[in-house]
Amino acid sequence: VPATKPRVRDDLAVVELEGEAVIYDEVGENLHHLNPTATIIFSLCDGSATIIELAEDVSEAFSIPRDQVERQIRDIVHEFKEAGLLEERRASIR
Amino acid sequence: MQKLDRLGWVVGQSYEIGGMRIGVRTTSRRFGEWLGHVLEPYRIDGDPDSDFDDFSIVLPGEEITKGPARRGYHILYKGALDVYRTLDLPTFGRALISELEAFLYPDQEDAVYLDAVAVRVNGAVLLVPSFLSTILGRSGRRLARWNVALADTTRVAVDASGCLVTPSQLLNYSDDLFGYLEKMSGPTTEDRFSIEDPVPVDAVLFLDHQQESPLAPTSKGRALHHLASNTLNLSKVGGRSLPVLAQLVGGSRCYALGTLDYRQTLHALASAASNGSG
Repeated sequence: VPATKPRVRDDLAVVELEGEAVIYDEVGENLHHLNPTATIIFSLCDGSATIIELAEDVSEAFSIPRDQVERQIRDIVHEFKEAGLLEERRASIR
Repeated sequence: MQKLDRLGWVVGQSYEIGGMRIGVRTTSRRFGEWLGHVLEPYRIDGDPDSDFDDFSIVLPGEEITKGPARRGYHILYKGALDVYRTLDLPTFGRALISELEAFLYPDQEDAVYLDAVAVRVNGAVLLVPSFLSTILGRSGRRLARWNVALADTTRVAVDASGCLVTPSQLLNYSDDLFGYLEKMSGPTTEDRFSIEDPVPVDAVLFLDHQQESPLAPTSKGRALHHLASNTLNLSKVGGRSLPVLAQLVGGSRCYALGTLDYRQTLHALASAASNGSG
């Protein structure tokens, strides 16, 4: 199964205030509020990295154990996907 | 006049505004005639007692022997709920028109229209949920003792700079018509304030049922999400509303209310106005 490089949809309206994002999805007419952690992950989901790569970056930047970060990112990205905030794009296996 | 009944309604008329059939009935023949004149372009045949979204207007008068109208209040009921009361008849007339114009807000693009009201507390301008205005409005003259004044409209509009502005006039009527209400009522007590010029908001408050304390500071992100959720024309203005509301929230203190108790709410408003944490 190819690894996914999560990428947020280009058509979302996003405003960030003091580290928290508020998102309006005009297609689904849904509003979302992200906490600071989810906002960081959201900003990193630009389609250039897999979850493992994201976990490595965050782990290094915040000095948190990588496996702990990876689990959290997987959960958050799963929530983004469930909320319809992502465009799915497949990438080759690392 | 279409119907007399034992509840004291003497004038009733149906209107169609923004595609909605609206019945309006009142205990005052003169006010009913005024309203019929103002809303003439929107009159339709119908049964004001059965039309959806009916408004009932009780005005003080000799025939009113009990309730707040006996104490001089002009009261607007929407369905069974009293949603607005004031001692000042011209203010009441404007509020009623504003309430009717709210049916057109979802289609507007000139501002962001919120289901929220402005409250002035010790000189600070607070933005609170509309239903809170209804609750506070029932406390009548006691509000003045707390230095609390409610805005004269039941919704607010936000301009591009994030300031509160007077909602646009959307119904087709002449502003001179309110002069008739001044003559009709004579000198009265203005107990509400108007937003004349664009005004920034000092604090945003919203209700959080999960919260135990009456008032707690909250994040600007949560406040922005709350305001966006209560944007009446969100589907029309879409994502363009977010930067506007972010400007409003960005310059404000933000609080979550954990109470609807009247006295606790007043304490919370006073605390929010004075930059306290409750």
